[in-house]
Amino acid sequence: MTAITIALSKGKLLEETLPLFRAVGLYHEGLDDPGRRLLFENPDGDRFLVVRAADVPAYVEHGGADLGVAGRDVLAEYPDALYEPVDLGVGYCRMAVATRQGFSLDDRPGTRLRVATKYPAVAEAHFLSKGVTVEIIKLYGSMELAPLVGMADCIVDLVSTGRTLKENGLVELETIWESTARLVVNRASMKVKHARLAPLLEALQQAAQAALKSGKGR
Amino acid sequence: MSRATDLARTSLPRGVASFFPEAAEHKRAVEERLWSIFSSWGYREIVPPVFEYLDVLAQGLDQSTVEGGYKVEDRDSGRLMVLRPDVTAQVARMAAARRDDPARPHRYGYIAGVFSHSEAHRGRPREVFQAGVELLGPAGYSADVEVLALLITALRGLGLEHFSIAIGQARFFRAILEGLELSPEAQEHLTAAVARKDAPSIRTQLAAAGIDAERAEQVARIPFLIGGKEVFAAARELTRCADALGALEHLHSVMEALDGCGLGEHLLADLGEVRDLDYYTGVVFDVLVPDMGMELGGGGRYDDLLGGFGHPMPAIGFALDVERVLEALHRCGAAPRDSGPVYTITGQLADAHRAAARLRAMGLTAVAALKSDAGGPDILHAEGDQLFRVGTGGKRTPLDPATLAGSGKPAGQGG
Repeated sequence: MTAITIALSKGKLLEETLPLFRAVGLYHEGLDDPGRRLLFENPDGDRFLVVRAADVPAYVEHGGADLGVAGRDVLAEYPDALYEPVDLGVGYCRMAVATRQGFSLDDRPGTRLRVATKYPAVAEAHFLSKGVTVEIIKLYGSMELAPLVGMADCIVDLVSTGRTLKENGLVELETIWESTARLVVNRASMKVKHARLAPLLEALQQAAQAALKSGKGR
Repeated sequence: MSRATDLARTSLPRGVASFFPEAAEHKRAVEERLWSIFSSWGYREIVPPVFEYLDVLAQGLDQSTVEGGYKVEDRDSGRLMVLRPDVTAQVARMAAARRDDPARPHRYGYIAGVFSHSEAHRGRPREVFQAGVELLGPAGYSADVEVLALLITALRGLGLEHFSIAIGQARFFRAILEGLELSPEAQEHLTAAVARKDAPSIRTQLAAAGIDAERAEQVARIPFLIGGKEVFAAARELTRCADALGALEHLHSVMEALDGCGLGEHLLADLGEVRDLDYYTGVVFDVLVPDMGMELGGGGRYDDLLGGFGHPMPAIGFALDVERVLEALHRCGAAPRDSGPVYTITGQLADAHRAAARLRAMGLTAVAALKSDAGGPDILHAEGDQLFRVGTGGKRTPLDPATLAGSGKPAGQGG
């Protein structure tokens, strides 16, 4: 059988994804507690890479991995270069616009809205669709601070429970989208390794649906 | 002068490369091998200019290629010119300019660099070396078979064994898309989703457009129509549209014909690839090798391209990325052979030059020694018409040039 390499996101998404892969026979016991190890190989040659979530698309695009698991937050910032055939139903996230309490976006006196975000492509597309001109400030974390110190009018960020926003005195204005993680596939692998991948994709899809039905998806 | 200052004085923009002899010889070996095969199939060299008018060439380019092109202003007219972003459009422009007779076949080949912007840090060069062919004139399936047979022969001729040609038919999906009667915007979104093989989005979009679930499910399967001959049976079940079925028939007959030529083992039916739908009008294909993750090249039929230049004429062609081909050859141990030794001949300058000329006439590589030439195993000595091998301690033994090692063939020719 053709061996394949799978790039998995570190952290919580890994925990949620593993049962699905395990259900279709893709598993390495080291993945339960990867520690500092980055690469796990099975005797049949299948390999698992543990990488940062934002790096999954690059590994898959450049053929470092045949398959990967990536959230829409990551894919939205990565130009179309991957196939994304299966919604795995895990890793739920919501992209939202938030600002400080008592501030309305209409209050903004200037002509353009200043938006702090880790997701410039998402933010730009969202405000473009509303006809709002924006000035994006790219940040890498703790975006909640930006409106509080007056550096930005609002933020575009991932929200899971909304607690971080609340604790920092921010309010959610609107949801841009809600989404779950996708299985992504290298363009060449999809074809060259078709005989191996086609049944696997089908099985993953079924495993994801079964998990959703049994209420374990979220 | 500090090293840092030196680096600044020899720096290069991102995405271009300098080829030193070892790499350049390999590149040339691949290009020469490809060229010898192209020309033995009757494809004749065409040399397009390195820049030309943007507005003219844009008639044969898609929007993203126009946007990615490097533009300079023509000092004469103030018009924008573009650095060659795509050879096929140039060949089409040239054939249209000369009014090549559409009733006859015109076989053109080229080896040229193309230039386009690539986003920083995405690991993509901005200068890509391509070797390709275009067959202009005939529209029939035999022209498709010829170009694909040439492609497979060329790849085999390079020494590649495990490659696949994933081959589809642009008319198949287009016919199905038209049958759905969506708004232009919905068509665009659906095509993008199919291109990403984004089955969940295909289902959602079609549901939103009021397409019934069964039909939506059929469309959602299109991206995954990849495999052997069994794909055709699966594809026929997804549509009753005559145009789509005709496209399947056409592709099937092309693949059968290639099978009949003994070239079928590399073919993979791929009806789910729908990129560049505005450009391709018939067969469309990619060259893939295991574990490279990127195609080595590709091509297809673009019967509407020359019409954009005012001279309608069917056309099909392909282009290979020479650097990626080289990488694939290295990975499978079929890299071009390094060139043979350079014999360096000491002695009276005239004797050395005459001896070197004799060796060159035998197909070897030889130069007369210069003062700064270092010693080495390939140092020979000439005295009058006699050649000597120079041993350790400078001991000379008479040498018959016919016994010299080195095939004298340029790199790659023997592989």
